Order: sequence, then structure tokens, then C-alpha cells
Amino acid sequence: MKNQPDYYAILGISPDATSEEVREAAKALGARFPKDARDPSQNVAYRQLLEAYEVLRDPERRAAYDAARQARTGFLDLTVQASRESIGALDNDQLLYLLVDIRPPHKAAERRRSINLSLVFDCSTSMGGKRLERVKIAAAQVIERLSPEDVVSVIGFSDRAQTIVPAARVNNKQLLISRIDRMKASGGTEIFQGLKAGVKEMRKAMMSRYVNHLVLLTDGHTYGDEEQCIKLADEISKQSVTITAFGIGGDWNDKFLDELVTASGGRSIFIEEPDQIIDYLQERIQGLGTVYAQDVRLLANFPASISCSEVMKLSPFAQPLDCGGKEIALGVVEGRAPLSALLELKIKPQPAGRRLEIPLDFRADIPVEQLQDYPFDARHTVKVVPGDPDLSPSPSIVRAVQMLNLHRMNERAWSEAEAGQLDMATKRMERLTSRLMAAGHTKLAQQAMMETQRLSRMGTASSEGRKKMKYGTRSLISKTVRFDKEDD
Amino acid sequence: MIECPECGAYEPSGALYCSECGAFLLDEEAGGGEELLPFATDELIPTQNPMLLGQHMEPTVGAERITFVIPSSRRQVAMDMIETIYIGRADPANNYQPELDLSEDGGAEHGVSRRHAVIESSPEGVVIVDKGSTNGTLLNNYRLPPELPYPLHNGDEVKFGQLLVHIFLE
Repeated sequence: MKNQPDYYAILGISPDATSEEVREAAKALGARFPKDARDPSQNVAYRQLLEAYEVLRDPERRAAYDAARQARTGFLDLTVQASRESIGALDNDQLLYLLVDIRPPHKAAERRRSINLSLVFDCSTSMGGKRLERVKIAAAQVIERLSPEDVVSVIGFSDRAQTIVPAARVNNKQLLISRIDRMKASGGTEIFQGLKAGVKEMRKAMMSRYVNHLVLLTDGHTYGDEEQCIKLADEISKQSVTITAFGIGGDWNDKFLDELVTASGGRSIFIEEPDQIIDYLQERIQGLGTVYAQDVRLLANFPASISCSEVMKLSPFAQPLDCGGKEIALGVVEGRAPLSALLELKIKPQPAGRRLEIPLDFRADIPVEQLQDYPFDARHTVKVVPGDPDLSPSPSIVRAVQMLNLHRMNERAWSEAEAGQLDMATKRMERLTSRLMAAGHTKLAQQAMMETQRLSRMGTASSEGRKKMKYGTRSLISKTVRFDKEDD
Repeated sequence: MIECPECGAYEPSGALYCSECGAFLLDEEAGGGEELLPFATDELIPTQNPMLLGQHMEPTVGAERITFVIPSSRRQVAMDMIETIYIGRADPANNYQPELDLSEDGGAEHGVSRRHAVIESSPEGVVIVDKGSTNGTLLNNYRLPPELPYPLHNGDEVKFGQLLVHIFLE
């Protein structure tokens, strides 16, 4: 049973695909085989495709297969799709893309969990006016929607932190909201002060039955305390706290906020207009109650001939992940959407005839099942064949890789611009513009166009423009690859 | 190694997209490959749009006086063309008084930001720069990207938010 192929992965569809989707996927994949390759007795790949289709199209056989698959996968449902089944025996490194989907098992009870939420708001002078007003409205709306079982704390910080609402159950919503309403903007920005106070409040209710989440919202640079912040973020991520970091306007450090959320598999979000604060905060908080597994991580125990060169989280939101360490932090699995990530692996030259096994060992905490470091895994095997075999990646992998590539072109253009290599940066930005246009992403293409002009004419990049492009390509990823939830 | 058919860059075997130019590297329509358009500036921004400083159109050099005519309030403001003219709405609390204060022209209702834009007199000529205003600046109906200088000419129409202002340079 253990070695039974995953039919869903073969068809490149999710386990809750409709019969319509099953048929279409099978049809599309079948069409890729040339006529003379459609002999199931000769062609293993074609045989597997037929087999997958035959089982999944039949409701009874599909149900039986699902049950067996469920027993095999246990508490988390893992599917892995690969861009190729075989690699060539070549003299150079080769690339392999793996698209990993993790979701709660089909019949996992959709129990809502209580939330331990800490809202840490920047109240420096620059937050004054519309920004802080919108933050107050957003915070009030979040509190309105919390249940009495949830715990919330609110911190306002500038160069020092003030505990606006100490951690407590959400009993008297009006009282909490009126306290938040009294926040005033003044002073500088020292993020560590805010984080420290937020974590202190959070720790008062750090129990495993809670989903622990910290929201940081800032509009400025913090000076000299970045390292302390990262250290604290790493520390609390080990206690299953996830972090969402919001940056408002153009004047904050996106690299720092990305680094801050990495250890917990959290998300950084760019807010262009103060009005967006309300929706974005609401959207982030909504999924929290449905968190099923947390601290999900991939152990990077690949054989020496394989290295992971890039990992991008695709769903429920796009966020580049750090693949430099022993573990890759993937964040949480929510009930509403799969946790998906795209891995780019570099494989060193291999002799023909070899079978290369790529272990994908995951760990996760599943509080509702009282499981810690719950292991689940998949093995992807690639055959090494003579020559350079053709690729036939599934459309979803192709789309994901395309988005990863656009994201990467953008990142490179900016780092070239920062390094003063303006010609290269401008050229890359021009190419990115045309790719975005071709893919029909007009709005982002216009932005890229504008940044190209700015680079070539002024020789400088605007910090806001960089953020627009960075977060624009990210939101493109989640839009294109999975759902159409996020707007522009 | 695969050679990118469009830009000639070399990519490792197994790559799906060229990391240099973004071209799709598999030949058939295996999924995400779309028809690729050549890069053409003209298709994105029509040529009648104003050009950035240094591009094609020369700005007005050596203007000494600038006159703003605001049709909605029938106000006319003339001043010497100094180095930097701030345009926006006065903010007495923060001791901010722009040279062209549009408060009394219904600036707030028309979406004029406090620090909306500046007109600068540089050796290369007179330029207008949107200062990242909330509702934007339109020069002859072209929305200016923030923080970029665009040449200004006698008779240009500028919209700060929704507020139309005619600009005359002498």
C-alpha cells in the first residue's frame, strides 16, 4: 500500500477535485502523449495516467481509494507534483521543481480554535492622521469579530511601548475599543520595544489550545534594534507564534519585515493606502481560527548531490521562504486553503541508470490531535537516463515556476539597481515589463514600466516603487497559482 | 544546458523559464506559455504623454514669472519663478505654508494633499514633481508618477487631485 502511486499527484489535481476536473486533467495530460506513445503495456507514465483516471472517475472506486490514501497519510494530506520523472546523465547541474500541497485530512473536524492575538501598532508621529485612524477602525473591527474565548492584547509603540490593552479574554468589547480609540501618535519608531511588550502580553496566555499570532504594523524604519527583533521573532516562532508584519506607505524596511516573519512562516504585507489596513487585517485574522496544523516544517535532509536553491510559499499567500537552514519553516495549515510551496532543487551530475530518491520529511504540530513534531513524508524518485529527456510538467507547476521566475527577475533588477548596475537593472526591468504585459498583468506592467523609466532617467529607484513591484509580483503569485481571492 | 531561444542565455537542464529574460523554454504549449510581445515603449504609454526631463521634449528655460489660474474659484495667482514652489494646503499646526495654497479654492474637497506637488526651477528648465499626493497630479491629463520631474510649458493644464489649474510661464 505504501508504494501505491498518488493518483491525485499524477493528474496534478487536489484531492477534493470534482469529477469534472478529474476528466479535464486526464484529457489534457493524455493529449500530451504522442499517438505512438499511447501503449499502456509499453509506456509506464501513460499506464499510470489511465489507471489514475479509471479509479478517480468512478465514485465507488474513488471512495475506496480515498479511504486507503487517508489511512496512509494520516493526520495531514500531502501531495507532491514534480516537473520531471527522469533526468539526463549530463555533465552539468539540473533543475527539478516540486510543488508541495499540504492540507487537513478530508474528514478533519472543522473545529474553530481560540486565538491568542497580540496587535502591536506603530504610534510614531508619522502614523498620525489617517493612518492611525484607519488602524483604530481596523482594530475595532477585529475585536468585534473575536469570540469571548479568544485572548487579545494591544500595544502602541513609538520609542517606548505602551500596553493599551493587557492580554485578557474578550469580554467587554466596548471597553477595549474605547481604549484603542485613545491611542495618539508621537515619537520615533523602535520596533523592538513594541515587539517585546506584545510578546510579554502574549506569553500570559501561551497555551497549546490557542492559535498564537502577533500582528506588527509599522510605517517606519527602526534603528539599531533589528537584530534584537529578529532574535525575539526566532525565539517566539519556536513557541508556535506566527507573525504578520504590515508596512504602510513607502518608508519602511521591507527586507527587515520579511526577515522578521521568516522564522515563523508568516507573512509581510505592503499597505499602499491607509484604507487598505481594514481589509487586510480582517483577512489575516479570519483564517486564524481554522488553523489545523502549525509550525509545519520541511527538514532539509537532502542527499549531498541535491541542494535546495529556492522555496516560495504559494498558498494561502505568497512569501519567499528561507531554505538556507536545516529546516524550512512553512507556517500553518489552515482549514480553508492548502499550504502550498514550490521548491527548486539543483541536482549534481548523475550516472545513467541510477534512481535518485529525494526525501521530503515534514514535521508539524497538530494541537487538536495533541500531536507535536508529527512526522509525515513523501519520496520522489527520479530516474537517471541517457541523454536529456523531454519535460512534460503539469500546467500548475508551469504556472508556479513562471511566477517564481517573474518574482526572481524583479528581485534581481532591484539588487542590481542597489549595487549601481543601472544598465543591467534597467534592461531586466524592461524584460520584466514585457513579460508582465504578455501575461496580461497590465497594471503591474505599467508599474514596471514606470520604474524602468525612473531607473534609466534618474539613476535611482524609489523605495515605494520597489515595494509596489515586490508585493505586486507576490500578489500575482497567489492570484495566478491558486485562487482569485486577493485583489490588486 | 539549454540555450534560451530569445536571449541566448544558458539555463540548466530542467529549467522551464529563462532566468534572464523570462522566456518559456519548452517548445509546445505545455501549459503557461503565452504569445510574447516584443518590448515596445510606445504601446504602453502613448507618445502624446509628456516625457520625463531629458527625454525628447525640452522644458521651458529661463521663465521668470509664473501665473496660476484656477477656473473653479476664478482666482489668479502670480509670483516670481523661485527655485521651489510648493503647492498644497496650508497646515498651520505644523507651520507649513505652501507658496501656492489651494485651501481657499476648495482644495480639501477637491482632494488636494497638503504637500501635493512642487514646481522647480532647475538649470534644465521648469519642472513639476508630484510629491506622492494621495489623489495624484495630472499634467495635460497624464497622471504623473510620484517624485519624477516632468517639464512644464506655458499654457499647461494641471489637475491637483480634482482641482484644475492653468499654468502660464513668462
